Amino acid sequence: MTSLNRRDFLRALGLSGSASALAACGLDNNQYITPIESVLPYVVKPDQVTPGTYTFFATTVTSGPSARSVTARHRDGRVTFVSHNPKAPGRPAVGTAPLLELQKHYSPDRISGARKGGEPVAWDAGVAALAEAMKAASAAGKRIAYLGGYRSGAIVGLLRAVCGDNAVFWEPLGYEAEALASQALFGARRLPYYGLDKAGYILSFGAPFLAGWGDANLEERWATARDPNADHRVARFALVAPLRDHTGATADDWYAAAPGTEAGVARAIALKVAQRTGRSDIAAIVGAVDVAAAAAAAGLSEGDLDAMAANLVDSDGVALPGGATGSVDLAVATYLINLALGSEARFNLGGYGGPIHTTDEVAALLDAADAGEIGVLLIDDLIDPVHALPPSLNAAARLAKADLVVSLSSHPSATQKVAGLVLPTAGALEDWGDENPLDGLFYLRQPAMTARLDVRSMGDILLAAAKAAGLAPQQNDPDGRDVFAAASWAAFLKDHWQQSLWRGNTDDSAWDGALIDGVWGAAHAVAPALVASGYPWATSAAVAGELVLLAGAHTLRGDGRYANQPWAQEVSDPLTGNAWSSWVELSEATAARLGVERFDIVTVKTAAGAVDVPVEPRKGLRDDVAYLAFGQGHTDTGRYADGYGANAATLFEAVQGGAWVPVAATVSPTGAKAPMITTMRSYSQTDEGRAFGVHVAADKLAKVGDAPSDHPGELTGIHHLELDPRLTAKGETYTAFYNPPDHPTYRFGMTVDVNACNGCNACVVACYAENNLAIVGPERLASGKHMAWLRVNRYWEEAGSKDDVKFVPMMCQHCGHAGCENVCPVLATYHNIDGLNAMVYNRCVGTRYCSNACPFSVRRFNYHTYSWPEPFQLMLNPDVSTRTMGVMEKCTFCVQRLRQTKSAWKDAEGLTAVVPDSQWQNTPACVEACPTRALTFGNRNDADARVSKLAQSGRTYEPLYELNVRSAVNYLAKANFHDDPSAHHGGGHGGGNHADAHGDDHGGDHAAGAAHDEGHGTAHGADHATEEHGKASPAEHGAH
Amino acid sequence: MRRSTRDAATLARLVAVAVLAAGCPATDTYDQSAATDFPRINNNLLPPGPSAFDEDANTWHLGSGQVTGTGPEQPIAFPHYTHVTVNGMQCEYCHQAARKSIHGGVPSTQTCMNCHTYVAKDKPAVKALVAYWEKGEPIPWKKVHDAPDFVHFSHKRHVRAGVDCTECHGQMGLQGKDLVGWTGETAAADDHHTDGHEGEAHAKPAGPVTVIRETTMQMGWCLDCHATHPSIDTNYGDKADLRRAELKDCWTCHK
Repeated sequence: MTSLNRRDFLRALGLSGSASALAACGLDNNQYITPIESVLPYVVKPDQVTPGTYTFFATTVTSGPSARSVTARHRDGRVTFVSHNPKAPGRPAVGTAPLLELQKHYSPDRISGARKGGEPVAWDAGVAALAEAMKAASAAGKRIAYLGGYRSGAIVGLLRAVCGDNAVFWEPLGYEAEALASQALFGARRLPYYGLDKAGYILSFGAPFLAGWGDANLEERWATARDPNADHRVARFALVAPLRDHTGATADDWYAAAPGTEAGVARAIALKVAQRTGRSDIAAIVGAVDVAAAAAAAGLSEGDLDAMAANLVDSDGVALPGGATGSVDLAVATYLINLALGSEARFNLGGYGGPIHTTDEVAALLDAADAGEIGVLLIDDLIDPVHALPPSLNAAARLAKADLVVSLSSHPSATQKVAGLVLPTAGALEDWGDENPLDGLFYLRQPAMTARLDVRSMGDILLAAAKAAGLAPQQNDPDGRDVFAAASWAAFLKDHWQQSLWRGNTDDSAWDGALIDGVWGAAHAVAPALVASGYPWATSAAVAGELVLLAGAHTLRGDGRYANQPWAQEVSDPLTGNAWSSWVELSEATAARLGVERFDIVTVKTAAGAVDVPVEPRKGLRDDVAYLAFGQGHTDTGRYADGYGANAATLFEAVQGGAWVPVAATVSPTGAKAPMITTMRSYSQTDEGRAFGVHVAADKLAKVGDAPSDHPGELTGIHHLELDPRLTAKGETYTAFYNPPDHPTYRFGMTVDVNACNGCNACVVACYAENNLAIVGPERLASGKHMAWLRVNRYWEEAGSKDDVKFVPMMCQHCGHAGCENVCPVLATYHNIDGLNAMVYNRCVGTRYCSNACPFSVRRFNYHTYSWPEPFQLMLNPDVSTRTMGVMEKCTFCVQRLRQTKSAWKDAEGLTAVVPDSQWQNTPACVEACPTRALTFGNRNDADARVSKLAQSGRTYEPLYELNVRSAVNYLAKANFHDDPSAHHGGGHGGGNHADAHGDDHGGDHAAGAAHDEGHGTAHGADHATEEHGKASPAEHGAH
Repeated sequence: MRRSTRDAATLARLVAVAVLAAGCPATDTYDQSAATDFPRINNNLLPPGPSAFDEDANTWHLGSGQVTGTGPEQPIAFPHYTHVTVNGMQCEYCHQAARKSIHGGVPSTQTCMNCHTYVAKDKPAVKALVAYWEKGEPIPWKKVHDAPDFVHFSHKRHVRAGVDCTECHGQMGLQGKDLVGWTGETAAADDHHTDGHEGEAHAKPAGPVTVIRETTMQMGWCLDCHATHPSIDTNYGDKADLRRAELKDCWTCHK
C-alpha cells in the first residue's frame, strides 16, 4: 500500500465517480461556485488591534444586586463570548445571565434610531423633544419621573439629579420584601450578605438563590458549603416551602409548609433559636408565638421546628428568606434567626445598597400619572412594567396618561408600545457605567465593542436633554459638584470615580488600572445594628383554596427579561426539560385527581384572570399547590418571545407587602393536548439502576473528602463492577478488539461533581455560545431534533421517605474505546492523539450509525440546515465551523480553545513545552461558565492535575462502566443526607472513618433510611473489590 | 500493525460508500444553496483542472480546484516585485500580523502611505491608492487564496515554526514584474459595463491580475508538508515522530 494511500485512492475514486455522476445526471458545474471575496483592511489600523486575535475587555453586564464583572472576548470588532473576570472576587465563573445578555446584545429585534410617535426621527430631534417635554414639565410644576430596574453606581446620581425622588428602581421579582425587612429592623433598605460558605446548615424559605437571586457569588458559596473538601463537612440544606423549585430540588430536607405559613414557621424558629442562644432582645422582637399552632398550620410538627433550630445553632446555620414570593414578615423572621445566631461572617449587611423600590411605590407612580401629575416618564430597558404588573393596576392605560412616556430601550416591549418617544439605549457591552453590588465593591463597565446600532447611552441622553431643557439638578452629588456640567456620560463616570470614590485622585493611571481590572475596592462585612425593638407582625395563615397558585422566576428567562433570547427558550428547564412554553406544575396526585396527564392543556383560573397552559405533573410539590413560572406570554417583545407560553402576572390581583401573594386557583382540563416541547420525553427520568446519578451519605465523607484514594469508587460502590469475563483477558483490565489508543502527551478528560451541580444550565448556554449550536425552535425540538451538545440530566428518585434529585451534566465522554468510532464507515469520527473523540464534519456522510452506537446519546444530527437571522451571525464564534444538513456533531471539549491554549503556551515557553495543568483547568466553555466548579478539565496523563486527583477520589464513578468504553469523564457522587434531621446535629462534623464510609454506600441505606446511617461498614470495610459487592450494587439501585 | 488493520477495514468501507456515492445525487432533496458552508464536492473529490471564471456571476468555479497560475483582478495594480525584489522590503513590514495572528494581515492603507506620501506619487497605481486614502475607504482587495470556512489555518504557527512564506505563497518577489511601467490601461476594463447593471457602482475590480496562486493549497498539498517538513525535525528533535503524528490529526485544521 505504499504506492496508494487512502487520500490518493479517494481522489482517484472521486475523479471517476463524480465525473460519471456529473455526466449521468447533468449536474451543472455552476452549482459549485463560491464568490470571490473581498478582504478589506483598515485604512488606519488602531494600535492595539491585530486582526484575527482576541482582545479581552473587563466590563460589567447585568446590573443591580447580581451585577457580574466579566471579560468580554472581542475579535475583529465584535464580542463573541463573555467569561469570568479573574480580578473579580470569588471563583472565576460567568453563569447564565451574562451569556444571555450577550445574545440580547445581538437580538435581531433590537431597534435602531430614535422614534417619535412611532415614526423614525433624527436623534437630535428626539433628544430635543425630550428636552422640551422636560422644560414644559418643570414650568408646569409636573414631575419628571423615572421607572427602571435595579441600578447602582454613578447612574443613580444622574437619574436623581434629573428626577429627584421620582426616580423609581423596581423589578417585578425583586428584593422588596428583603429591603422592607431591612428597613424595619435596621433602618435602611439594604440587602444582607449571606456567607453560605461558612455555614454547616442552610435553611431556606424558598429564595431561588441558585437561579440568579442574590449576589453573583451566592451559588459558589453554596457549592463551597457542600464541598466535602472545604472544611471536612457538607452543609445540610433544608427547605421550608410549598414546593421544590430548581433551587429547592437540591435540598436534603424538604419541609412542605402550606403556602402562606412560612412566615409563622420562620418566626417560631426565630424564637427557638433566640431561646437557645440567649438573645432575649431578638425574642422580644419575635414576640409571643404559638409554636405548635404555627407548625400545625404549616403541616409540620413541632419536632421539625426543634430540629431546624437545633441544627441552626449547633451547625453554624444560616437562614435565607423567601425571595420575591415571600412576605416581608418572612424576611424579617429570617433576619431575626440570623441575628440570633450572631455570626457576622454568615449574615451581615454588606450586601447591595443601591435603591430598591416597592410595587406599592410603582402603584403610587401610576396613580400620579393617572392624576396628570407627571410631565415626563422615563422607562428603562431592564423592565417591562406593562407586561409584568398585575392587570388590576392597569399599567398600560395609566402610564399613557403621563404627558410624555419615553422608552429608553432598544428592545421592543409592551411598555414601549405606549411610549410616545423611543430613544434606544446602548446595551451593557456598548456602554460606560459602574455597579456597586456589595458594600465597598465597585465594578466598572466600559464599551467592549462599538455600538452595533444607532443607539446612545442613557447617561448621554439624560445629560443632553437636561442641559437643553435648562434643568437645575434636583439633587447634586454629595460633593456639591454640578452633575449636568459633564461633557458626556463617560466623562461623568470618570469624574464620579475620581472625585467621589477616590476623593480627588485624578491620576489617569489609576483610572486606566481600574479599566484594565474592571473592579475596584473589596466587599466587607457591615455589622447589622438593630434599630427596632419590636415588629408589627401580621397574622400568618395558610392561603384558603383547594389549589393555591404560586409563581416565581424562571431559571433561564428570569422575570421575563431574557424571554426573547432563543437560548433562554431553547435550553430546557432544569426540572422538567420543557422549552419554548409555559406549563403549570402540579403534584402527581393532584394531576391524577384532576384526570390530567402530562401536556394536557388545562385552564388555570384565579380571581384575576385565566390562562390555558399544558400541565406538568411532577414530584416535589404539595398536593394543594400549582406553580407557573413568570417571564412568558409576551406579545410585543420579539420573535422568540411573542406567543410562547402564558403571562403568570395576569393571574395575580395585586402585589401587596412586597410579595406575589399566593392566590386561590382552579385548574380544569380543556381536553386539548399540547405538543411535547421538551427534552425529557419520559418524565420519570429516574436512574433505574443505571447508576448515572449516584449519591453517598454526606456525613461519611468527613475526613475523607476527595483526597486521592487507593480505591477509587469505594464510596459509591459501583466502580468495581466486574467486566464481562469474555472481555476480560487474564491479568489485563483493558481488553478490546482493537489495541488501546496511545496518548503520549495529553489525555484530556473531565470530572463532573454531581454534588456541586445544581442544574443551572450555565454550561449548556456557554456551549451554545461557544460552539455555534443551532436553535431549532419549538416544532423541531418537539420532534427531538435539539442540538445541545451538553445537557443536564435530572434524576428524581425516591430515597426512602425522601426524594433525591440529582443533576448530571452529560456530554461526549471521549471514550478511549468508543462505540461511535468503530461503526463510522467514512472515518469521520476517530480517536485523536490527545484522547479526544474527534468529529470531522467534512467527512461525515450522515449515516447516523455513530449516534446509534453511542450509549450516552450525546451525538446530534443536523436534520436541517439552520440559519442565524441577521445579526445573530455576527455572534458566531469564528473559530468553530457551522454545520449543515446531513452532518453529525457533538462535544469537542472545545478543541478550538484547547488549540489556542497550546498555541499560547508554545509562544510563551517554546514549541515542545507541555502545557501545565494550571492552563487547562478552565479551558472548555462549560467549565469556564460553571459557577460552582462542578466541572474540572485537564490532562489525565498528568498525575498531579486536579482532574486526575479528583478521578482518584473515593466518590468517583463512571456511568456505564460495564460497557468498557474507557470514558474520559469521571463523575463524583452527590453527597447528601438521608437520615432523620432531628438525629443529626453538626453538619457532618466528625462523621465516619474510611471503612465506615464504604460500608454504607451501596444502596441499602436509601430504602431503610436512618437505620443504616450508623456504622455497619466493617463487613465490607477493607475488602471492597469483592464480586458480591460489585454485582449487588446495580440490582439494589434498580430496586428503588 | 494495529493501525493498518483499522485502515484496511476503513478502506473497504470507503470503497463501498464511494461506489454508492457515485450514483445520481438526488438534486431535488439535497439543497445545494444550503450547502455553501460545506460543499462536500470541495472535499478533494474533484481533480485539479483549469479554473473557469464566470463573468456573469463574478465567480470562480471552485469545483475545478484551486488552480495555479492565475488569480482575481485587483483594484490596484500592486507589484510585489517592485517592493520585494527591487527595494528589498521584508514580507512582515507590510504583513505585520503573520507572526501574531491566524491572518497574514493585509496591510492598512496607512502602511502604504508611510512611504507613498512621498514615493512614486506619479505612478497610476499610487494615484489610485491615494484616491482610496483620501476618501477614507478601505481598498477592496480580492482574496487570492480563499480557504473554505471549515479550514482554520493559522499563519502564526507556520511562521513561528520557521516555514518560509515562499514555501506556500511561491516567489511573491517576482510577481507583478510585468506591471513595471504599467500605465493604468486594462484591456478588459470596459467590458464589464455591459452586464445590465448600468447606473450601479462598478461591482467588479477594474484592475489587472497582480497576484497569482503558485500552489493549490488543497488538503493533500497541506498534508504533504505536515508529514515531511524539515522544520519538524529541527523544532522537535527526538519528539519529531510524535509531532508528525499530531500534525496528521484532522482537528489540527478542521474544528
